[in-house]
Amino acid sequence: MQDVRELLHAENIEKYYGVADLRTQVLRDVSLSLRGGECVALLGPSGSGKSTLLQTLGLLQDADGGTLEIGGVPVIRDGKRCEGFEDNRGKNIGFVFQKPHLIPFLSVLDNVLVSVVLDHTPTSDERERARRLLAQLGMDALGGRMPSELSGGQQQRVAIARALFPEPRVLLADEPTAALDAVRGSEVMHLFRELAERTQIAVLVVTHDTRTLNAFHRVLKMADGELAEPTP
Amino acid sequence: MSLYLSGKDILADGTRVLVTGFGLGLLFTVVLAMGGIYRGMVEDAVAQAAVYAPHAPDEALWVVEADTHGPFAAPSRIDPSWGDRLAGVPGVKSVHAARSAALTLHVEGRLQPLLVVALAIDANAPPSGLQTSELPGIRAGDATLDRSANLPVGTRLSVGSEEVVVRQLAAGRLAPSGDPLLFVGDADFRKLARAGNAASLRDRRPPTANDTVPAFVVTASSSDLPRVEAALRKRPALRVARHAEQQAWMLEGAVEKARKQIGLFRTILAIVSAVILTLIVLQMVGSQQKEIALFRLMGARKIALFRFVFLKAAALVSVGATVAWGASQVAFPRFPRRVIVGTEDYILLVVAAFLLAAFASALAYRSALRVEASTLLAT
Repeated sequence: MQDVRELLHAENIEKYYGVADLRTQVLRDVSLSLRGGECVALLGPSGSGKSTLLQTLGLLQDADGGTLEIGGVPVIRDGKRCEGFEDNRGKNIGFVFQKPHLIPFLSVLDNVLVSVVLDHTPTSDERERARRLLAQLGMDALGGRMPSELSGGQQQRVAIARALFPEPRVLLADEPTAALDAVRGSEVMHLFRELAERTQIAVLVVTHDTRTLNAFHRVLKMADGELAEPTP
Repeated sequence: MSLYLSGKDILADGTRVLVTGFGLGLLFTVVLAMGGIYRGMVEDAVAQAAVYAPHAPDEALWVVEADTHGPFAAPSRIDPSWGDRLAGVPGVKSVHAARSAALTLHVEGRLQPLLVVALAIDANAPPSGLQTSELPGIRAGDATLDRSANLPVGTRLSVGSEEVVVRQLAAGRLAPSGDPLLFVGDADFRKLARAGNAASLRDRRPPTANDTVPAFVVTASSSDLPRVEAALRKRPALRVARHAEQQAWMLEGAVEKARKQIGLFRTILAIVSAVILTLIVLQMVGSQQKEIALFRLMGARKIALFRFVFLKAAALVSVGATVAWGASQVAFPRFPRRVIVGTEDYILLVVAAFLLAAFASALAYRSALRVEASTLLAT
């Protein structure tokens, strides 16, 4: 019986790069589940397939095999996209990249609202919600600034706020502290945990930094495209 | 993609949009000028012919030398005595000698000579295409000169020992060559032309005119015109043409080569403008690939992404079209040639510019979509 709090469920995910004889398998029957309120770290050496797994779970890449369900709804079945694949990426999954990739010509507040401004001019309610999100991340005074006026850590917080604004069920972060110093990196990791617990979303963070593992409920390890047994 | 987002993008990139748009606008201005110069040449050619034509061109026949397309497209020489004979043809209302010659005149108090196209006017029976204020007057030595020569009333113009004095100024009276027209009495015209020929022979230049008449303009009532035309066609020394036919000869002879040159130049400029705009838009989109990749991953629809690219290109061509309009208002009246640009030219420019912007945007959009968004943002 499926756990009702299970927001992401992946089973036997496979992924190959290259074609014909040069085909290399980068994900081998990867299965994992993420529950609401849970903050999970994904560790592994370079080339182990962490980022590929994260991008596949984030629907940024297609899988070559396996099944993926988000909120109990299948989005990948037998490696094929199901109906609503693109919509799920926009609505149910938030993604934080290694670099913040903020839009340079938008203010901090508008960057948080980018999923809205793609479609229309933000309403006052939407602006208020974005302000509240920034306040939760300790950025309430910086909404009017431009990205170039922020530090690296502040920019990454804005990127997190941007990913959270559409109220996704799952937040995926690919080495979000790679460009930050240890203190800022630790702050961001604890922020993910706090967000997961407070908003009951599932958070999966790819990281190299073993010093921040105390911020996570669980740690998953990858090697050669396979997921090792979960660490409690 | 909302206007809000595009507006922010364009404002943030305002200097580049303005400067690049300004450059594009200057290119557009030259494209406009090419068309305007050609139209000015045609207008001037038609206006020159219209000096001799009556207000009702359907009542006019041009009589020129047999086997020629004279007088504007090719040399045509008819003995002046034909004037009286033509007037005697039943049904003929009036006969005007259409004499014109390109002359190089000395301007009193100035070293630089003045090139004009002189037209002979019979002061007692002036051609109906001229305004009363443009008539050179009945006194010998009086002349009317187009304002484009920038000479005041009272200026003395001479060839050798022959001299006329500018008594009136006309507006918009230019030859297809762009030179101002000079209206003088018939006798003065002959003197100037003769002196001009002598000067030409001294300078080893081809003579410009002599005592022969290039063409006669014969008028008759529209009911009599076919009869007069039939009678004149029986004269083997002459060729008869309706006004429209003569105008077509003139445009083919005097303007056709210029039309081809200007048309080719205009086409090249239009292509250059298109290539430059496309490269600019490609470069702009190329520098925003990460933003576009992020929009794609945030779930932006394809039409919205295209609109994002197109609106910036549209802003560029809007600046360009505005600059072209402004520059044409300021610069074209100062051109030595007449440049005629109408509202339809501006509309055509705007439509073409926006189509070009759409084309360049489509190319840039395709190139942006070829990039794998997740790979781009993963770095």
